[in-house]
Amino acid sequence: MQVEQEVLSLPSKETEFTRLKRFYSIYEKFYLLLMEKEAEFGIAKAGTIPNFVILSPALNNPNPIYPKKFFIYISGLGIGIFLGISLIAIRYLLNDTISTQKELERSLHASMLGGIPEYSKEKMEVSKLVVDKNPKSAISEALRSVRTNLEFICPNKKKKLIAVTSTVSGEGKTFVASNLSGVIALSNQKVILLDLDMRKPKVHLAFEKENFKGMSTVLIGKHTLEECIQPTSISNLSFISAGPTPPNPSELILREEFDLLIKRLFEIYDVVVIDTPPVGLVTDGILILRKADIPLYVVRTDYSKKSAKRNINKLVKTIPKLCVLMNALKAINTYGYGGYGYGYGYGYYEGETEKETIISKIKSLAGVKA
Amino acid sequence: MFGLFKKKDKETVAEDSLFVDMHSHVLPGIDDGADSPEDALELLKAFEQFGYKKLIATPHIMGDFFRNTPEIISEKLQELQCLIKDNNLSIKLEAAAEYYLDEWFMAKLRSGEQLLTLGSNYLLFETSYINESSFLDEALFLMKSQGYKPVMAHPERYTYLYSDFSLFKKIYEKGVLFQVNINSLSGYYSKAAQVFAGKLIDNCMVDMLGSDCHGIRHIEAMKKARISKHYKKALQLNLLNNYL
Repeated sequence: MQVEQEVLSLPSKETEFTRLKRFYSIYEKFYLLLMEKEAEFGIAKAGTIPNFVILSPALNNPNPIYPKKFFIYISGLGIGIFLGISLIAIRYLLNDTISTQKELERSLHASMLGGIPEYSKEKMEVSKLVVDKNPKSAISEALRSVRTNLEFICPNKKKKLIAVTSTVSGEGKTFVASNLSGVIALSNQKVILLDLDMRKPKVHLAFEKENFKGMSTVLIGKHTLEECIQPTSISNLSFISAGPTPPNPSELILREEFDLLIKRLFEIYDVVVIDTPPVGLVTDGILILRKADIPLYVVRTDYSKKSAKRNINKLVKTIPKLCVLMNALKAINTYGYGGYGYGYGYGYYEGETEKETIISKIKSLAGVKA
Repeated sequence: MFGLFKKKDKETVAEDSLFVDMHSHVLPGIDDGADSPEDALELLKAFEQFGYKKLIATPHIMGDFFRNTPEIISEKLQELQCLIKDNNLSIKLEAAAEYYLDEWFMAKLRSGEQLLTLGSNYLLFETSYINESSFLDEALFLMKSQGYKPVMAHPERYTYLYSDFSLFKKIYEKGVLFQVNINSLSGYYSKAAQVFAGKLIDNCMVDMLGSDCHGIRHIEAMKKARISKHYKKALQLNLLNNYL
């Protein structure tokens, strides 16, 4: 029974066996193929030789080799210093004007009489007499101290001849001459101001008077002295304008009449002040300076050239009495080295101008013309 | 023993506050200070409120603008003293002068004319603000030779000294006493005046403090100056104010 059973199942086993055998042969074939391929690739791999050799592995450097920070910083610093210095140098070379009293005093052989602050109330087209209008202003105060110092230079002399000059025009020669005459007149001395700058007469403009006759016509004998003397708003102060411009101003000054005229004026006046032509261009100024008891040379802040100092030192050799006056000192306190510059602060009698100056400063900063 | 006590007493007084002001323009109508007796009275009241016991009025004497004489000053002083009495103020008023160093002052010194002084022969004078005076040395010599003790008013306001602090020292060493304006200490006049006033105090070169009061504006400004650091420091110096 059992055997019969087994025989009966034989054909199905037979089919199962053939089925599995088929699968087996497929896998075996596939496996052999892979083996073959592996051997093939192994041979191929072993046959390839690389054309490079790693001598050492790559280094990982955290700092870039370019751009070089240090080099840029150093060159930046260098260029910065260079630009700074060259800017200073250029500004120094371009600024050929005298800007502080200290700077002027340095290596100046003439004696320094003092300084006069800048007139900042209004823009002055022509020189004006300001000492009578505002006797308490800083300008008046400064001029009074100059007057006192003049007394020191020329003591015990009743009659004085003061000649005011500058290097070129525009430095405040007429302003100083007229206002200095004004403060001297206010000190109870009889003063006369002569305008001998016959090429560019300005004194009559300062006093707002005419200039039809004056020094030139007196010196040629056309008018008398008395005819030409004009009064001013200050009772002790008179002046003679330059008169029409003559063709030969230097010759007129050289004439004997000029000395006689001065002599005659001293019979009436205590002080004769002369507005002299600038000495930078023409020589007639020097002739008058030699005659003066007090020759005064006006230098203007931030306007007069540094070469003016050389000019002064040269003049001092022939005119040892020559005194220098610094005009238009700046009002602003500049915080510089060693102090506060030469600002004069507020007006002599403060309180009257303090607020005004602050407002006007703001105005001038804003570009508003007062 | 007595001297020791006296000195100590002096110091405590000086530390407290100022009782005497020695530089003001309260005498009305004779300079650029108080205009009217009413203004002057107002100023005196303000000084009393500050705790001052005595005020020495020092009108300008200047050759060309304020031609004050001892007669004019003493007349004005008497007027104002009467007014003080009428208004029951307790402040004491005296008068001297602030001489401007000009030709007229030199003439007075040369002629030996009796000058107005404060306390024991202290002579208050001022110079130009902008230009150095050529007469300073001669003036100092003449003052000292006549027995005056020269007191230079507000040196911190003289711009001709600003280029170098040693210029102040040079003048101080000539034997001048320095009087600094109280209002300089708060920068009322200018920043530079404040800085130099401070430096003078730091260098113990201040002998007197003055209000230099010309009007109520200076009283207002003093309120600020009196609380400044340098004001307190100045009071520690041996100021001469309270002995005037």
